[in-house]
Amino acid sequence: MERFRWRHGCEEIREKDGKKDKGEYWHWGFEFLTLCFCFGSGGQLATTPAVKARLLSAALFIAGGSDHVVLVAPYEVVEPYIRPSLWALESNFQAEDELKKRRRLFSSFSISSLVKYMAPLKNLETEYPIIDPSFRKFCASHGIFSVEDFLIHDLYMLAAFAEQDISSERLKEGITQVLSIIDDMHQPWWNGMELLEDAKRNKHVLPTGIQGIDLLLGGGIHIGQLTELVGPSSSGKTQVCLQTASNVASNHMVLYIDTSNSFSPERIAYFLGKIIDVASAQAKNQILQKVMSNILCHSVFDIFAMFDVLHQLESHLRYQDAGGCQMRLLIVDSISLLISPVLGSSSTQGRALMLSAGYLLKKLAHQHNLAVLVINHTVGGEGGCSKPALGDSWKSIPHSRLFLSCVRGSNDYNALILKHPSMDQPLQDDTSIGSRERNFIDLGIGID
Amino acid sequence: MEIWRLPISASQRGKLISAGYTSLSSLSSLSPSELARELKVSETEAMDILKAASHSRGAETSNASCSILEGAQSAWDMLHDEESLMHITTSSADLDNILGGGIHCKEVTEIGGVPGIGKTQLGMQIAVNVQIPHDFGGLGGKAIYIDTEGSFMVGRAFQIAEACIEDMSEYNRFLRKDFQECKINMKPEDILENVFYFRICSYTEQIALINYLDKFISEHKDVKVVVVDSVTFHFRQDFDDMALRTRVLSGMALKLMNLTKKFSLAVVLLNQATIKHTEAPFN
Repeated sequence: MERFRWRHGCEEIREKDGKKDKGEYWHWGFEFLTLCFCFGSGGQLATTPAVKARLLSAALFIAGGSDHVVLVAPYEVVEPYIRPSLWALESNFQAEDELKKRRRLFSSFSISSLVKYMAPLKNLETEYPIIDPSFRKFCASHGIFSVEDFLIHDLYMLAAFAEQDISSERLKEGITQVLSIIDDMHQPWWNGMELLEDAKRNKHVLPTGIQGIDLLLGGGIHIGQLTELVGPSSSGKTQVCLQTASNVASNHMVLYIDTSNSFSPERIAYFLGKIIDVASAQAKNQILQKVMSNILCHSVFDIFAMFDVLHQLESHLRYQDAGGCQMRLLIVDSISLLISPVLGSSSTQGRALMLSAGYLLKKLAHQHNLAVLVINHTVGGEGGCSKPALGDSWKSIPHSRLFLSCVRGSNDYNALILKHPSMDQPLQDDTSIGSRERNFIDLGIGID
Repeated sequence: MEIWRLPISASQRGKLISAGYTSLSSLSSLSPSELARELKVSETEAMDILKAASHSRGAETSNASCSILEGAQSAWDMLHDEESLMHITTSSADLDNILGGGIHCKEVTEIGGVPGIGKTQLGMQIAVNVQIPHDFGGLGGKAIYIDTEGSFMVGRAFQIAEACIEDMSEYNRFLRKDFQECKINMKPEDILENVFYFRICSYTEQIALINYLDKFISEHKDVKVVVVDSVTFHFRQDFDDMALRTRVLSGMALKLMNLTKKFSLAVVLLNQATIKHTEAPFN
């Protein structure tokens, strides 16, 4: 079993300079390799994906000379950027087994999720009888009261002390047991090749049914990614979501989290009526019933209720059976309406809730192979032009962002890509007309 | 850290974190008196915190044997529910046409216009029309009228009620000739009695009332419409912080939408319209 010890690097820094450090360093001591992973206060390595990809491939290349590379990264770094870096590196290595052996990627959703719940040792006794009072007394004599303390303490020294004790076998068993509990706590290790296979097998593309948007997004919305639809009011965002839901519902289940009473079953029936091509009215009704029962709509009106729903969804998805209709699409209409009442006051709680909602949605998308579609509003920016709501912190959370707008006086709607993992970024973020904008007539969402 | 996900106030959260409780499980084995002593808060507060914690923990670990999430409805069921919902007529055929039959229940309808165009009259008419009995195609429910400007005139409401009863007896006479004995037993006083009137003088009262409506409507289950006459009147003056105003208004809108969904009633918001001078964009 690989044993490692880590220390909070902050203490080391403070010992050296004696002054307070703004950033934090996590110092991982390995038998073979030491990798320092540092990040600034925003938690981001770099601002543009091109620079991110280059930094990561450089790091992997340099570290590729050693036997093990451990990369601890939030999910949004791994999915779109590691794959191209891996392919770039592949060209530099001849033997494929060599490649597989050398690459170990540890995918995690946040640094804090590595260490989820550190129980005090006495709570573990019911489940693991080896951790009996005598073991706990031994640990207490070295200042260890919880699993967290266990990690921080020097394990070699503890093992040496256990050796010298009378009941050394039991103590060593206890230590092994606690270490295995710790091992269960982190996310599973993923190889680079395993990530690629998972992407090919599971992370498909769901077509929205709207030609222009499918063209723009490269086939549709991606499973495993968070897509955001942003636009001023009445620009067609809810209609796009309803159309997507009706398109996907024929084969998969859809969950529509509705915060603004905008879910309209008649509209869904209208969209489905155009897709279903059956002669008799009765057969049509039957198909309509079957497909519409695949769409679930839940109304939530505050952010805590939404967290409850997402947690329920998570436990439901964990136990859902492999066959049958799987849930593949989650729509949140609209997340800005839930977050704006709590955002912006003097406390930072609103921002924390927003970020954790974003991470929870991305985690659901990746782990359970869902496509997540989120609607956001616009607010007035400088110079009178509108910009997406929820500010700069939210900007980096969705994987792709699509800006919808309505051309005044006609039935035309414009869509502009603000951000997409497989495309180049526009130089500025304002809605300048570029080659990525497509004018598509007759989205099919006008009034007949 | 799961503490921030609990719906408790910021000061309580701060006290929990500084006392060392960083996850929900650390609160599991505590009794309210212990927690009250540690955090130096009252026992009722401690009990509320523990209740919120156990509720969210229960939601996390609930068994997923039920195939559908609690509270979610499939689109097919919703389609059929909507067809069976009744509307509140506005007594104007054209308006009813535009609205698709009248004011829908389970929805928030906003009526805006320049001053003097008849919004308050429409509000009063709706408050009376909701009381039309089932036999005549109405909802037979009560109304809540929240007045922020003081424009509710009781004499006028009495006239509207009288006219409504006259309408109903005419309808009775022309279409239901075989039911001669089915007289209208309603009197204008009964109609006025079924309108719950609240007068609000400041925005804090308005926020407090919207929060209180939940409890009020649970006690008066037959309320079917809530009319708010000038929902933004008190927010237009002496509100320095525009961002706070937006937050408060959107929070209020969410609460009202919650009310409609929970109790299956209609909410009618009357709003004022103003003229804003902006520069025309140069093409």
